[in-house]
Amino acid sequence: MSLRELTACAGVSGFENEVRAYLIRQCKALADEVRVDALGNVIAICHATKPHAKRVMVAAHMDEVGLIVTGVEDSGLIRFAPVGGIDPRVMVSKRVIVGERHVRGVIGAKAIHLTSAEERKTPLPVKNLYIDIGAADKEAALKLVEPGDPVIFDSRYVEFGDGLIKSRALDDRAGCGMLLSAMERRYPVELAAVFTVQEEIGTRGAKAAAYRLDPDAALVLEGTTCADIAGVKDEQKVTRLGKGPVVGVRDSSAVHDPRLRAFVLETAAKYGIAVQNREGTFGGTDCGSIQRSRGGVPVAMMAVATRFIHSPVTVIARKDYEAGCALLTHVLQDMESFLNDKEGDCNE
Amino acid sequence: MMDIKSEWMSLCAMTGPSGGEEAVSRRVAELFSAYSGDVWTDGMMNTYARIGGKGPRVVVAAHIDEIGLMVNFIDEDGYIGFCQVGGVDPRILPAQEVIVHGAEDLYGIVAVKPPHVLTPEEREHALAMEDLRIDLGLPAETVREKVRIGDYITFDAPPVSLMDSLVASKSTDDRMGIAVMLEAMERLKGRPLSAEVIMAGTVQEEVGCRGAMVAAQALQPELAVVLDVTHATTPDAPPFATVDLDKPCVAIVPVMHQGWTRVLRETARELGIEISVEVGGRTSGTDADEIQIAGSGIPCVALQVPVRYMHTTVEVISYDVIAQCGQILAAFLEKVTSCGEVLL
Amino acid sequence: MIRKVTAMNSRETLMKLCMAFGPTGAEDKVSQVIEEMVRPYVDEIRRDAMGNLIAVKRGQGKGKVMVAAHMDQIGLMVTSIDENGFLRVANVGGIAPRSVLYRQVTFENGTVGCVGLNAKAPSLDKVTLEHVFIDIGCESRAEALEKVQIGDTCIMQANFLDMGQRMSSPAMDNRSACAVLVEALKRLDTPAMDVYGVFTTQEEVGLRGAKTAAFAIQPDVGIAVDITGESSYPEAEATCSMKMGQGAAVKVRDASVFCTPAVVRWMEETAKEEGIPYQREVLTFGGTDTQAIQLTGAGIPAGCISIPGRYIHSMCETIDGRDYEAAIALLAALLKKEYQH
Repeated sequence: MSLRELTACAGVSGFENEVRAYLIRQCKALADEVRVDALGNVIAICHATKPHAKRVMVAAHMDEVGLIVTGVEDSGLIRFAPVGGIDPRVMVSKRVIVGERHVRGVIGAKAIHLTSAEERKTPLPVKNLYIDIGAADKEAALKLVEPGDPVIFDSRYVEFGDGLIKSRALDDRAGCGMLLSAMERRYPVELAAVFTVQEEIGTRGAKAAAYRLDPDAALVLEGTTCADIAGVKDEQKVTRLGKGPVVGVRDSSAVHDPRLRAFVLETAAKYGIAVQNREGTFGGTDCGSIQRSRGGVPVAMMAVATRFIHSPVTVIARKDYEAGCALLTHVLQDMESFLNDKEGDCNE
Repeated sequence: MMDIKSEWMSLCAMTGPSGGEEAVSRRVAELFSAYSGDVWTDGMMNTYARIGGKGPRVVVAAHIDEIGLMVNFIDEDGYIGFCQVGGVDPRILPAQEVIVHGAEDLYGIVAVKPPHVLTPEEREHALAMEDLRIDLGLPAETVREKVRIGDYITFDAPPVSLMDSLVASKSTDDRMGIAVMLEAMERLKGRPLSAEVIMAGTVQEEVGCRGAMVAAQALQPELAVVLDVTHATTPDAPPFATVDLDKPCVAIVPVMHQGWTRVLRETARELGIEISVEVGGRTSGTDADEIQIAGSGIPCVALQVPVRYMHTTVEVISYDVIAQCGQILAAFLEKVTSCGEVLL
Repeated sequence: MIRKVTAMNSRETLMKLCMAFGPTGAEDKVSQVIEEMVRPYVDEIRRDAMGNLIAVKRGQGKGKVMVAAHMDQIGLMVTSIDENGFLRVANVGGIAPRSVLYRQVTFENGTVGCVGLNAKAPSLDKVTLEHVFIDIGCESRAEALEKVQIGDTCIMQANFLDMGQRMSSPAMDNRSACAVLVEALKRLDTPAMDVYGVFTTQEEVGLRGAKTAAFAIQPDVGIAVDITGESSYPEAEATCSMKMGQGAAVKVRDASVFCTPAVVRWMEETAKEEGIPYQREVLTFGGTDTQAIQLTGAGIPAGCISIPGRYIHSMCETIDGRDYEAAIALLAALLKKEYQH
């Protein structure tokens, strides 16, 4: 398993087949039980090291933002709609891969010579963009592509700069990678690993999985917003690359369980892992879907800061990712005490 | 036989922004050497290959430079501010992958704010070049160590094959001209050619046809054939400003010699190759604009290959058309000495 | 040969050149001032048809280097004179109308005047030269014609402000570069290459003088000396990296030229060897004689030494003495050496 392999798989929300097949292969090698539910979530159970253990659900979403083919013009050019929140301004002049047959295409832009200075100040809306696969006409295009085909950006895995990784879809393949690495061990709690679908279009997969698993607690693993770039005020940076795993406080879907969150922070401190808070409340995650499942589930979020999120070129720091893997392992190892304490509280 | 298409695709992947063409220039010289024993490079890095006989001197020009960016300043956090080299629409830049040619080649990304923190006003506003920064993922002091003001920045956008013979890449404008020359020289191999033909890979076209100006002054040819790209039709293009993607194109503009343009069109017709014509009322925006008025004046014709999305990282071009242009060029060069005096 | 002993130091040279009259197309006076300054130090002086002043110092046969500093300055040319004696003008070179308003001007024959604005002119940001006139104190066209002819060009009243470290003048562009060339020529002893110091004309309207000079000289390498922008004043464009006081600027590019990489390296290495402070220059606008030299004939390697300046093309073009001295030192050091490709 590697982030390179994980990010090589396509998995636009609702069209996660390719990444799911990869995850099933990995899970079968690592977990004690693997099943795929009706929505396509991959659920992998890693038994606890002792009987009658508590169940901890750890979720990472396998889907990614992308595009979907809406139609083919007579000219053979392909119209599309975004899947998930993508700024149309990052789509221009990029390479894409269309459908399961991996047809190569590009999103062009009118030549600068044919534009006015005024035009160049206005962003190109999605309705003015199209994918060009080099088809001579509609008939030729339809031989390779049809409406409903998912589209991903063609963005290879690159290691660059000071220990940084760039690829497509690090939101949330970074989370998937952390979860797979945690499955290499067993813990005093049962690890119910869930690779969810359709997070990017409303955290839909996690809802069904949480209902089925009815966990005692849950952790959500994310690639999260990181705006630590030029021209963004300090208070708007949300997270910073290289400052360690991110621990959530709240997002638009949920206020994270304060005690579980405190436990995660204590564990980080105990093992000397530097962490950072997520300084922002926007954006939804699987936390909400899980937290309000059945009678309610305590949920916390751990994430890897992801620069240029929802663009073709998402970036994380390798050390944040590795520290995230380590923290997750420690949390699962020590979690029993937290769950027992919590039960004690309830009994009082 | 040289696999010209694959050599050409490798050439497109190389970096040669205007004024920084050395590497491309050396590679073009190597490619030319397969067909000519007389290959040389001048002080500006224009590269030449001589073929043919002692007849009238004909220069065939295609520019080897590409659009790009240049380091203009480094901010206190180590982000790079840049300016353009040649015409770059800033709207193609957000989230673009680039190489900064500092003390070593450094991978970078044109930074964008995440959509979640954008205000509605920001979404409605295209980013201007001076507001964009490149992120190298390096500490500021390392950036300042490795990157200097004036270092070139190029796009990391090598060619990708699309359907049929179409290719999307940066720098098809105008490396395709080198492919046309190679295709023509392949066809002319072993055939008598009385014209003295000098193939010229010119520099700095994107910033004002500067290489071609010097080449023409130095060579003083009797005729020049300029190979360049033109705009292929897209849905958003203004009417009559573009031509079909799948046909070679001949330019009819005042800069071009009308008589020789007729000869060029006849040549295509005799080969049974259908062509488009691009019509304009001003200068051509090609090396011909400078070649025409160099020295005592040089008649020019332009043979063009249409591309979609010119000056982006995904210029789409047809290799079939490039090969057809090679065929037309070869036949035209053979014809140059036999067609007698050509009047305007 | 007996050298005339002059006590003139580099700052006095600059001041004297800033005070000389020489708008584009009427560079005779400044040309004469320069000729006097350099005559003792060179082997030959000539002028060509464009009015370029070419001062040659023979070297040791290692080829030819041309150094170009344009001596023309921006100005206003009289296009018509109305019946009340007011002069209407057109710009010569790039002039922002708001920078000439209510200034004093001087003609070559000594006539002086003020720049006035039509009483019903639009607000300042909309003012064009059509709303502007020159008042030379006359009451009628006939009276005005005794002093000024159609086609005469005036300059902003010559002035030189010595602020200590920094200096300001309406002619700093490009007399500061002329002064750099004069001072470098004064320091030449036995140059490796034949040095062609060319004080060029008509740069401000399209690098016209340098073009013919380079064609005639056909040098092996060319160096232009000019003024450039800088960004250490309030709200200056952050997109310009040059800073006043940080040394001579070695140009990488401007809108007219990409300097020959080997020449840029030659300049940078020389500056490092000699311990001369310098900064790299990327200017996204503007043009310099560098281009005219580089594109001559079969192409000539060319580069440019610039002096960072503020408020260029205004009454108050300002430079820093440290950058000025660094530019002189760098040019003098380059001229001692041979340029190798």
